Parts: sequence; structure tokens; C-alpha cells
Amino acid sequence: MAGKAKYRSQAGIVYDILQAIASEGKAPATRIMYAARLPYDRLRQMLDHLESVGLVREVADEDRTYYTLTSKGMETLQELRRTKRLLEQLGLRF
Amino acid sequence: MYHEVMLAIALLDALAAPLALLIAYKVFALHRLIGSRGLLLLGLGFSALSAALIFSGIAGYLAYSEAQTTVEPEFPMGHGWMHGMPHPWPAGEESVSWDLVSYAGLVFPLAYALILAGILVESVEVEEPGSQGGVLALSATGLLLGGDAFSISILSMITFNKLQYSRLDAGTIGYMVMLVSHILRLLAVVTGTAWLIALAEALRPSSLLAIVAGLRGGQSGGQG
Repeated sequence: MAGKAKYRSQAGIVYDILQAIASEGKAPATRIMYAARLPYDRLRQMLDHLESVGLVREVADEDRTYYTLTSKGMETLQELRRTKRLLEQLGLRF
Repeated sequence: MYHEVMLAIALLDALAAPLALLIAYKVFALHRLIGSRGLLLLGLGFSALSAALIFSGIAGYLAYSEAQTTVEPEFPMGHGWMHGMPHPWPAGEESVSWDLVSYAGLVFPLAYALILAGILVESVEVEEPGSQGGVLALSATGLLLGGDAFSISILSMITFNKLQYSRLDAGTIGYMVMLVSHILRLLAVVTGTAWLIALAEALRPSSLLAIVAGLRGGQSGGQG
């Protein structure tokens, strides 16, 4: 049942992650993983990167860890929504 | 008549250059937010494309001005790429405008190479990580031919890559028009066909107009 490896753009992956978090308000990693269609290890890398550039924030709520968008993350999501179609036209895969 | 075509080419380039710069600006803005190297390369590619279009536009305008101030025949002879062939450029081989076209002929493939590198670096294989790379090669008229040949191969790769996953949208058509313009210019220089080079020069900026026009077709979005 080996599926074809899928190529996606980093911008597309970032868009899906930010969109998943924005739709929930705050989302656990597993929820983001399914919404963004990413394997867990790749998601972890991306979340660490997004946290390091200040787009998402990790918050602990009781015994669970959630992710929320920072104001820069909201700004990035808005920018991605505006430029998604242009990036697709240029050849990036979303 | 032919010289007015040169002026039209200059105007088309003048219209397309800011569009390429606008695309670069938008991509750089995203790069600043996300920090992706692929977007940086893509932005640099469109900046280089804008520079090449400016070179090309100035060359078109100079060819038009040279024609207005000199009494050269409409199709100057004697310095063509092949013996016995007329030179495809109205101002001839020794003109400053042809030199500028040659320089632009180098900047175009550099721009396409950066765009291709940007698309490849930006692409990630979600299940198994992989990578791809590219090479750069360069060659006055001969230089232009080398540049066009390189542009054709890079644009073919970009178009093929895009057709693998998307339908024939405005972006794909834009890249195809760019590809056709370089094929036509290569043919024009080899055969010494003046109208063909004019058509090729006019087609290239039109490709960016096609991409931008395609953006007006609707808005996509939604959740993954």
C-alpha cells in the first residue's frame, strides 16, 4: 500500500498548518497533523521552525499541549491567503 | 512600421518589468514572514527577470531611436549571424541596442534558473525527503544564442514540472509563452528573420501579463 510520495511547497505546508490552528483557535499537534496532512516528524520540524520565527506559540493547558497563532502568524496567514493563487500560478504546490 | 514595432516592444517590456518586480516584492514579503529559502530564490528570480525586461525595453527603445536618427536601411546587411543573411535586429550587429539585447540574453536564463531553483528548493517530499539540483552554462550574438538555449531548457523544466500536477492554467500558459518567445528568438537569430525576433520580443513580456490576467479569474482558498 505504498502511496506515491507527494511534493508540496513549504509555503503550502505553512498555510495548511496556520489555517488548521486558526480554524480551531488553539489546536493540539495531532489535530494539526490530520488537517495539514503531514507525518508527525515533519509536523514537529515545521512547528519548531514556525515557533522559532514567531508564527505560532506553544501553550500548556492542563496535561495537554496546544498551539496558537501569534499576531505575526495571523498576519502571515492573511498574506498567504492573498498570495496563494499567485504562488500556485508561479509553480508552487499547495 | 518595423521600428514602431520596436517601440511597442519597449512599451510592453516597460509594462512587464514592474509586474515582475511586484511579484518579487510579494514573494519577498512572504519570505520575510516564513523564512523559506525557496521563496528567497523565487523572489531573486523575478527581480532578475525584471532587470532583464528593463534591459530588453531599453534596447527596444534604442533600436527605435537609432532608426529615427540614422538613415540605415530597414534591414542592415553584412554582420548577420550567417553569411548572406540579413541581421534580424533593425539597428544591426554593431548597435548599442543589440549589445543590450545580448546582455539581457544572459540575465534571462539567470532569472529562469533562480525561479526553477526556488520552485525546487521550496518543494518538499512529505513522505521521503529528496533533493534536486541544477547547472548553469553561458556562451555578442553567440552569447545570446547560448542564453536562449539555456532559457529554453530551464523553461521546459519549469513548464514540465508545473504540468505534472496542475491543469493548463494562466501560470502554465505564461511559462509556455516565455518558452515559445525564446524558441522564436533563437530561430530568428539563426535564420536572420526580422519579424520573428520582433514577435519573440513582444511575446515575452506578454507572458507575465497572462499570469497576472489569470489571477483575476477567481479566488481559491479554504481549509486543508
